Amino acid sequence: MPDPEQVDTGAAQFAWGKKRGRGKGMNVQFYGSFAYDGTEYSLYDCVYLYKEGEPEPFIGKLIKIWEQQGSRRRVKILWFFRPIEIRNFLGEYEKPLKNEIFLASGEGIGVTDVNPLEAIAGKCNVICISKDQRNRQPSDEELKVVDYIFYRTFDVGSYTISDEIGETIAGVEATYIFNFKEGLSDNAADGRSAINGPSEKSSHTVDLVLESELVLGKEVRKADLSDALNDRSSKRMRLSDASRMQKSDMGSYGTEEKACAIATTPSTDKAKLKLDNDLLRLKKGSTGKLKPDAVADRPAGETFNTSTPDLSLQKRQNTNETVEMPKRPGDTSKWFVGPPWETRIWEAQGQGTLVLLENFDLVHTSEEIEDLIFHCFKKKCAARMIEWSTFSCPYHGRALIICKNRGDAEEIVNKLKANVLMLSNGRPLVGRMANLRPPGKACKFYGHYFIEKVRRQMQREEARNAVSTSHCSQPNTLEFEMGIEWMLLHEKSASWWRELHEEHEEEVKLTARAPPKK
Amino acid sequence: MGSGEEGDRKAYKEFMEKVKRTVFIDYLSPMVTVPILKTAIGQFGNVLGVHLIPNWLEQGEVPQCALVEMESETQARCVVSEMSALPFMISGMPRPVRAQLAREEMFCDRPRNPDRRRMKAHWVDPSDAEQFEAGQRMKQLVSKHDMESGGLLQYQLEEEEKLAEQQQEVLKQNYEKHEIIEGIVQDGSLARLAERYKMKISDYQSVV
Repeated sequence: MPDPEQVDTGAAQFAWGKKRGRGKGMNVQFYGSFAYDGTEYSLYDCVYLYKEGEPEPFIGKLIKIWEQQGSRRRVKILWFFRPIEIRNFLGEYEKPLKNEIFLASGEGIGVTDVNPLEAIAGKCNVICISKDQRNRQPSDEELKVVDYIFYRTFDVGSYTISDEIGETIAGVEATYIFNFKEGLSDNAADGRSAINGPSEKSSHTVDLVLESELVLGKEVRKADLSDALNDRSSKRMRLSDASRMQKSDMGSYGTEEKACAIATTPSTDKAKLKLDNDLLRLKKGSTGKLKPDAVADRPAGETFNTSTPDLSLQKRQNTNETVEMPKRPGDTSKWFVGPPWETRIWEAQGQGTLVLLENFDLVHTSEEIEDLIFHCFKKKCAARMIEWSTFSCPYHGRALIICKNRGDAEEIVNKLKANVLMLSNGRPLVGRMANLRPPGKACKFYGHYFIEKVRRQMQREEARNAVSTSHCSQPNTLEFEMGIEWMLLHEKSASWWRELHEEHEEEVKLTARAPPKK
Repeated sequence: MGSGEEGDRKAYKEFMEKVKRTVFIDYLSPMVTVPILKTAIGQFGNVLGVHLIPNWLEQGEVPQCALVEMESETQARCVVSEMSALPFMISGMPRPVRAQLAREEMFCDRPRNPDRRRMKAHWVDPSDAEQFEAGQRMKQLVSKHDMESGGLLQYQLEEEEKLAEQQQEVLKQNYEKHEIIEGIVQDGSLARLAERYKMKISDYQSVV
């Protein structure tokens, strides 16, 4: 019987868009767009590519999309570099701007790669701020919601950085490297004259090149190539290989990777708060400047209800600004289709990046926790709610978060310890380094008995059947009587827990109200 | 993103439908696996999915719990009522499992209810001594409460152990009783006695 969960998440929805040329021998069909997992992608869109074990997703530009024999979907990616990846070559050049990334250029490994289409994890909003006259200058609004900016290229052959963009990069005309001019973006996917030359030419060879390209990624590189490029070449990922690669690539950038993380955020807390509020006001006012579609049909103040904060909070607002957590600009939480948490949390605990957060309202979601960490600590993390279970408190929730590095995790824990981050449920957030239950620790379980002698007499097969059989017990048996005794104990213990939790709740309320003891 | 609010609302609605047809089952033996659970609950209806809730944080000897998604809300309710009426035993006897209808907070991947306010937070100014102190004390309470919960869990486990010991004893005595009876039958004592008292014992034999 089909498991709906698997159907939903396992096979993401997919549909091809505009058809383009065909490759040699009718084996390859090129496309100008496609829809994957509910998102539309077109040629020259920038995307995230997630790879297991990497704290940050890779960023690249789709420069070719096709399907080859056996329904294998492929995309050719023109890469961007994060500053951290090419830090050894940044030396004399101007310091990278916040959120700046570098477009790959030149000849050699690391400019483009062919990847399975399924490796795409989501859209990435990248804007070119080059002063080049061919570039449409971005508006302030655009810059506010951007994920990354770029204006310089990194030549993988000469290891040089340049702010000049030539006629083509990796066979892509500069028109498609710069920001789309008005009206052009719609036509771009049709790729009229501009792309046809290089694309068609290479399409003839693509059948041949493809397989070899996929193999290349695993070959050992020459020693004189820089680390960065070596790593780059392994960017070519195949989902099935992801787990194999994971170990070797883990932590290759270590803890330094802070610089390039976050979308345009003013550096001080205050300014950030102000920005958020401005954002809220903007949206509430339905000026439609930021996201016209999203705002237009929303009654004012329904979601961004800063005008009616909790009464309890309003009192405190005299000294402190309360900020509701709006979605992060250019939120990327949806792209995250990582490995299962089961494996990630163990790695994270090993690396000291796993933090347990407690005391927030039970209704909140992991996405909100991620937003909270982003707004209050300026850190990105991945959060997972701890499910309510038999012995959990019915009033407040717990979540595990995986931070990008140990430094972030410690900073969050220390800040929460030293300061008070008050939440809307009137409780302060509590954080500590998580201490997981060791795996495979045998768990004692009372209440299931075997009579040794009987078990030995029974055939093994029979015994197994007996154990795995489940049934409603009938009232004329001994087991029924014993079962009832257990049900009674379950009920009793449920009432103990209820009482304890109520008592705790009462205590919290008293503490919140009571003046400090002298 | 994308369709924004509408999409969120739809996703949340779908999720709530799923919650309604899901049953939360606890006091499961650590021996229970997904297939076992699927078969066990499959007696009541069509099981769409089983999720064993991982225990990462609780250090004590905590029984397993699981979410079982049924085909419909009616089936889910049926499972809960059947299991509450009679002790239902999975993978061992006689301790039964417990079932209740699932709630939102039992799902780790729950979506946000779009009609609910987003989370809010603010840093309390340390110069606001009263609030700051209260906050600090409330943080301490969390660890105190943690310890108290740990204590209660310990107590519950002790009670369970006691009940288990006591039941085991009853079971043993019962078993010995049956063994004695069986012994009499098998070594012929029963037949000899019957002969002496001129009784027919074929009935008894068939019982044994």
